[in-house]
Amino acid sequence: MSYFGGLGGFILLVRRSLTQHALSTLVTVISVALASGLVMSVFSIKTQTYNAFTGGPVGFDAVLGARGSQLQLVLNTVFHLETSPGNIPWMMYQTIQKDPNVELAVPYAVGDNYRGFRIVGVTDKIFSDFEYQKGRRFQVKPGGQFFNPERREAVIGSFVAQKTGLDVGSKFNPYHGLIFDEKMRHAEEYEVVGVLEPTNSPSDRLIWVPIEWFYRTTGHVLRGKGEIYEPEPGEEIPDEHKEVSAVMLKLKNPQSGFILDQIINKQGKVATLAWPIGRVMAELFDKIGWVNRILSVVAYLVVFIAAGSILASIYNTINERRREFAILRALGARKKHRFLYDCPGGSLHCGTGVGMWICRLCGYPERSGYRRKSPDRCGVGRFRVSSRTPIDTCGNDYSWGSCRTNPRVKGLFNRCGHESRPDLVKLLV
Amino acid sequence: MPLLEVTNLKKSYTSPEGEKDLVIDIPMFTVNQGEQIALQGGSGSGKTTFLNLIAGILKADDGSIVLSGQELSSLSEPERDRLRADNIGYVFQTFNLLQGYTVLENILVGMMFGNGMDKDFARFLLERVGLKDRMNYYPGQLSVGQQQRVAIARALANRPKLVLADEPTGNLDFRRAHEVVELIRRVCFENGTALLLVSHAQNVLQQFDVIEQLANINRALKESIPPRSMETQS
Repeated sequence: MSYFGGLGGFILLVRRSLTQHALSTLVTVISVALASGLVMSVFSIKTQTYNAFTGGPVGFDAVLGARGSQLQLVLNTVFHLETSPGNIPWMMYQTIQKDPNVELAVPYAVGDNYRGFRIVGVTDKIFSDFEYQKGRRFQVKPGGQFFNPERREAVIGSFVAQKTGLDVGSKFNPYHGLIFDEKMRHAEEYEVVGVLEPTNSPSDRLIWVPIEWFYRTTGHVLRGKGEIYEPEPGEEIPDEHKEVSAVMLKLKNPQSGFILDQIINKQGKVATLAWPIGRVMAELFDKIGWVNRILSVVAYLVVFIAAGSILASIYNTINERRREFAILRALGARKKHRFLYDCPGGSLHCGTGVGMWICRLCGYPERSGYRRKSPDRCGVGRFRVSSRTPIDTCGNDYSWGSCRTNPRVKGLFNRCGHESRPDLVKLLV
Repeated sequence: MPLLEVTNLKKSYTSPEGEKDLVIDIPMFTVNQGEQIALQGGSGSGKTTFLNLIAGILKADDGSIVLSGQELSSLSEPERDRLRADNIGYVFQTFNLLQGYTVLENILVGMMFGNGMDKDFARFLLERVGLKDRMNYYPGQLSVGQQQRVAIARALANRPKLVLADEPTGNLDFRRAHEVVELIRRVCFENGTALLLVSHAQNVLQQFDVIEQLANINRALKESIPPRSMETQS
């Protein structure tokens, strides 16, 4: 005798089993899917956020800025979040770039945006000397070029191009401030001369313009000497009037950082050196450690609730199907048929699987090719989702083998198709 | 050789107080090929237990049940399941139809564990019980009498040698009960299937030529003082 009288019989039972309990199956699948998706997301976001802000190179070792918070300085300059803590005179940039401990110094002026994307005034060193990763410099896409500091030109990040539709030859007007407000439109017009290749870094969402032209934008005032200075068109701006939001520094060696830290932070009173950047960001996570703990608690609660709902679902399904299977037993079904007939475990596996896939679709799988394509530094990146989370293990632990051998589950299992004979009779009469 | 031969069959249950309560003690009972027997017994007389022992759903404490030449006690549980699927059709008082399946599918499910699904024969059976136009209905859409007819068709789905009917008219009115019993008897007769029907209803029993009193064959009832089953017997 073949199982269920052949494939047709099996399909009939499975089809009816699914349609008969369609709602409960669907609800179970969705709830498990959402639970597993949520748990994976929580763990993943936590890990990825930490890694994105603290791990890996950002191209610079330190940031020099106005006296104040190192964290704000790093967030503003490296990750392009937060506001600038203030400006420092151009002379300070000139001094630091000549320092023997400094390999590269790039001035950074910020204060305008285009539709929410920051416009950053820099020198052309950012393209010629700066390596955003070891051995990797900014590259423009074919047909473009880096800006000419003598002209009002702009080079845009790949993400900006994608979101705004700007391309080589496009012209745009900047808006004052870091938050987009249509009323704050500047009269000057920049021409896009290049679109950068994706770098998987926050730079992808920046618009780079020559710092000189940033100063010459209407409404921008300079206070390098302490008094307000507005450059006239065509007039060369004296260095003493210039100022910058920050200076991004590449140091010659780790000892350089110690020396500069001693000079600027411990002995000096006018500027702040944020160094090393990774430590500054790690301190942020130390300070907001309670958020991580809450996220962990929430995640564990979700796991607990999901596990409870799985058990409740199994229990209810078993009870619902006991009578059905008792009828089948009277018709000649054997105990072993129960395994194929009663598939709550299968449904739950399915649910867990669906959850993982939803999660994978919502996020970016850690081991998939998307990793290379997706910006993986904060500020741009969508978070990748790891498939190695507690719910994954939990889901896979619910298997036929473990059901049969686990003494805790055995009692439950015994109710499923292994009713004692008097019980079977009770169900039938 | 009889189709069913029961010898010195004993079955007892343990009461909540822990005492053994003997409910079946039958020295001898036989059913021949194609024979139709009505077994009369009141509530609690052990008639359902007796049928379940014959079907192999329950296991006897002692004695022998030989069905189609096979001794049930010598068979393993899967073998008894197989024997039941091949040789016995069961009609329950409460029909026990699968509510999520259509009428036709209920018959096909009855075939699954026997000789395999045979749609033509299932349709033929439904035609025989007058439900040809209700094949795609669900049990809940049928009257009580129609549901019992589906149960009868399902009991015959595997071309069994013996049909066990446990109070098949318990939920039917007088007229419907008469029709259903007539139907069971006729269909079994046409298929050469033996029929063992248990009931306490006189109108049902009167339709049979051979009527056995469970009280006469079950010594457990005679020995109990006073016999509970006899008190409630209708």
